[in-house]
Amino acid sequence: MNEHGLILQNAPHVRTSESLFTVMGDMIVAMAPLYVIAWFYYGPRALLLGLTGAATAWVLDMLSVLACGRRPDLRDLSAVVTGLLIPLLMPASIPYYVVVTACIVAILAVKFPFGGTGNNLFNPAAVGFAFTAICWPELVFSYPAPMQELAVAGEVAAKTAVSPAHNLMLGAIPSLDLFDMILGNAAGPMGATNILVILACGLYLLVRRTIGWRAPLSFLLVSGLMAMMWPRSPFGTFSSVGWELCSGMLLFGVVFMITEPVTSPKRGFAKVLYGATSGAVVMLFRYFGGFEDGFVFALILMNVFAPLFDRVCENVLHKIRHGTLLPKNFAPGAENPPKEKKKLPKPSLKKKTETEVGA
Amino acid sequence: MKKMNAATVSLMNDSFRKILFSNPVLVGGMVVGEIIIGATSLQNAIALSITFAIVTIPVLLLAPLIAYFVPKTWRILCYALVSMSMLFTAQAAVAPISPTIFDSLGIYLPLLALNTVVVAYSRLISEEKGVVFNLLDGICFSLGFLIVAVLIGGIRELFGSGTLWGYEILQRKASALKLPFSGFLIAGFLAAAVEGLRIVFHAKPYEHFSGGKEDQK
Repeated sequence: MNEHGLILQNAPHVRTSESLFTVMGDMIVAMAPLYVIAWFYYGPRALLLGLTGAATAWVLDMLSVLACGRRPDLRDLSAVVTGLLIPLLMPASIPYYVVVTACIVAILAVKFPFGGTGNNLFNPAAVGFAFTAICWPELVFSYPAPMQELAVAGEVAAKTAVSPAHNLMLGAIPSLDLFDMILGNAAGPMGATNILVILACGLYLLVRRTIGWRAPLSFLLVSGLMAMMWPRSPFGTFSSVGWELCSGMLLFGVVFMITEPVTSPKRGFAKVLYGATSGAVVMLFRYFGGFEDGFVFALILMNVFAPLFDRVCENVLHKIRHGTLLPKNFAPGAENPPKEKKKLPKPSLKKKTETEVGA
Repeated sequence: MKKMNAATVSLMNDSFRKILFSNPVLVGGMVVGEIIIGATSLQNAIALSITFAIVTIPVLLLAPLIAYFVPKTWRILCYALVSMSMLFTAQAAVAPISPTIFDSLGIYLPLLALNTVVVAYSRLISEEKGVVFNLLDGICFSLGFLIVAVLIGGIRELFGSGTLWGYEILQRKASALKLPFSGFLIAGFLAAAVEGLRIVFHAKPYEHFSGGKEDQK
């Protein structure tokens, strides 16, 4: 404080309490109930998987920051969020080395080559999961039946069950009640089955303004519309919507992954477009893809286009606001009138004398 | 011991830099595609390196001669002709490595015969240089190619298939490493490592790879 009673500071002059720490802390708080539910369904192995992921990702993140020659920031929890997201996308019976591999790929191959926190081109957790899904599809897509305690270490001998997403892919009649699915009593990814808890977490994040409402809403609208128009379940259109939205990792991804601030567009309308296109691409992956859930692959694909949405919206909205989207005197069916050429005065190389300036 | 004159020293420096600090693949960006798609195992990597050496060195050696007789328009065709005719030798040399080598590499051996070094480098640089320079060039390029191919192929075979030269070593394998995108990733990490080493050793990159700005001053 100087003698005038003013605080002298360098820019940026941040006046909100929101920071990287609070945003990532909110994400961790929102993921905690999912881990508790997973613990309830599968035993302490679920918590240990989360701890393994978070610890691996955090340690690798710190080492990478040190290798880049920067000072490590202990309040940067984004790596912890990545490490906590990855196990939630996987079955609880997944071996620990798969989680560790996914974290290694996420931090070392996706996050740091592009410049670390805030600069990643793709969602690190999504790419880490996709890598392991390509390597070990038989482990990543075989889900244990809920309500059984899995062994903490060593070989997991669990009774497996067919997940609703796999049922839908085969076009079979779903063996579960929709109510059971909403309560999470279905085989599936560790954190993505409990629809009610995910919705509550989403509401918390929305109220805290950690995530926006535009991308999730347009995503759900478009994917729901597509599920209604081209149903895969034999029970008609409306139950098809329920099955499609509640199965797999769709809702989890909508709340936790598609809203990631770094890899999604920045402008409001661009977010709407991004969510809508992602919804369509996810459903197309489900209809024609090889895996039972293509959410992660669709997300990686859409991450590439996120800056494009921003740019297109920037240009188009600017033109609409200034009324220059259509050419002047535009009438459909009629030929555009030739533009009048403005005659620019020729720049004279002659130096102006004082008398000319005076005149 | 007889002292080497300055021209010889600079010639040797120029050429030996091409092994590591001006590696044709990692720094020059030449012949990237064949390595990334073809080098999925150690055997493939060695086969690619042998083919590269046999195909490229004669073209670089013959470049001044061809430039003397053939007009500019037809030179690339002549280089391609030379490299393609050397391809038969290369295939004979590669065949003993493994009976399935032609199945696993397929079209990439003929594609390697028309690589960037043959098409562009020989026309831009080798035509004006002497035979000794070109021979050193060819050998150093081949060595640089060999190092990168063996590293990428070895890493991908060890962790992607769990084997090394066909012998089983690891139990667990990440088969995604055999896909092209992993090749790009590993090549990127190796390029970063070379750049780091270059900074540590204060080495200059070869002028034709850095736009020639440093050496024109």
